[in-house]
Amino acid sequence: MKSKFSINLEVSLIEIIISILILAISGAIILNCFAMARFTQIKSNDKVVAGIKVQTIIELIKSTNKIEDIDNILQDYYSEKNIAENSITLLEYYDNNWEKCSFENKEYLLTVEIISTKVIAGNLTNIHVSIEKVKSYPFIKSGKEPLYSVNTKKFYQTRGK
Amino acid sequence: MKKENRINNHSIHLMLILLLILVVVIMSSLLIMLGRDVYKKINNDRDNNYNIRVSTLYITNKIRQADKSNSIKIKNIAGKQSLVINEEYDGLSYETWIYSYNNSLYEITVDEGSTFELSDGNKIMDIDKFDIGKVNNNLYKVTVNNKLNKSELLLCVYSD
Repeated sequence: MKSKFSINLEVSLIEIIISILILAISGAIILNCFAMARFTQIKSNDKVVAGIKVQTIIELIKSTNKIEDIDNILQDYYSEKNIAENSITLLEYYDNNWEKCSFENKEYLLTVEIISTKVIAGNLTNIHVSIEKVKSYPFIKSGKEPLYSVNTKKFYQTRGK
Repeated sequence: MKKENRINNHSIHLMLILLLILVVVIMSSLLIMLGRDVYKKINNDRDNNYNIRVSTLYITNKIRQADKSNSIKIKNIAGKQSLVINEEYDGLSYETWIYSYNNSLYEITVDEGSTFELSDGNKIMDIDKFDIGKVNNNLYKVTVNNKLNKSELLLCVYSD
């Protein structure tokens, strides 16, 4: 015959094992939430930096008076250039700390696309500046959207000034 | 003999239960501490981001508002570059100085040419360093630093 004490012990053991299981499951969910919160904040930090970098590029382009000056004024802001008919694509790579780096160590990619169209009195340029993270953030769904992107236009007048 | 064995079993059971309770307590404490650390980091980052972004935008807006000929100047105050905006109200000229002092961004509006103490200004927000320079005729470079971040923004103005 089992004593009262032994019956109580067996029940307590099962209860505790179940409570540990519940704790482990809820702990895993909470850890996931912590990770999501942390990486969402990291993404938010990146958006601030990316916004400032994109704005700087736009301001630089805005300060030019001739379409030929764009390349010159942006020369410190890109490491790779692809030229096609009526368009230029400039690329710059940044590492984890937003410092310029080589292609191999890149974490963020800055892309500047300038498409020029000749119109009657000058050149109308479509400017697209974007920064994207090369590897997506863990724990959060980022999709394929860039971190920050701006589309704008600038008209360079060549006649009738 | 049997009674002794039963007592031994009971004490092993008791030890096991106590051990499991200890595991629960340790795991819960670790989870709480981890959560505290994560939210501490998030709050720090958010504060730093806020300071960097708002101070940069504040200076940017001030420059854009004053985008008139001879309105924006860069002057040296206590060995640091500061932004000086000239304004005119009711025929009187005023200067708005934006400068860094005591690890903060300060602003003061005074009569043109008058002197003031750095501590006289209004504190805008906490930053470690503020610097402004002219890149060319219509381009300004605004740099704001705090403990973790550095923000460097170029700003194009229409006036010379």
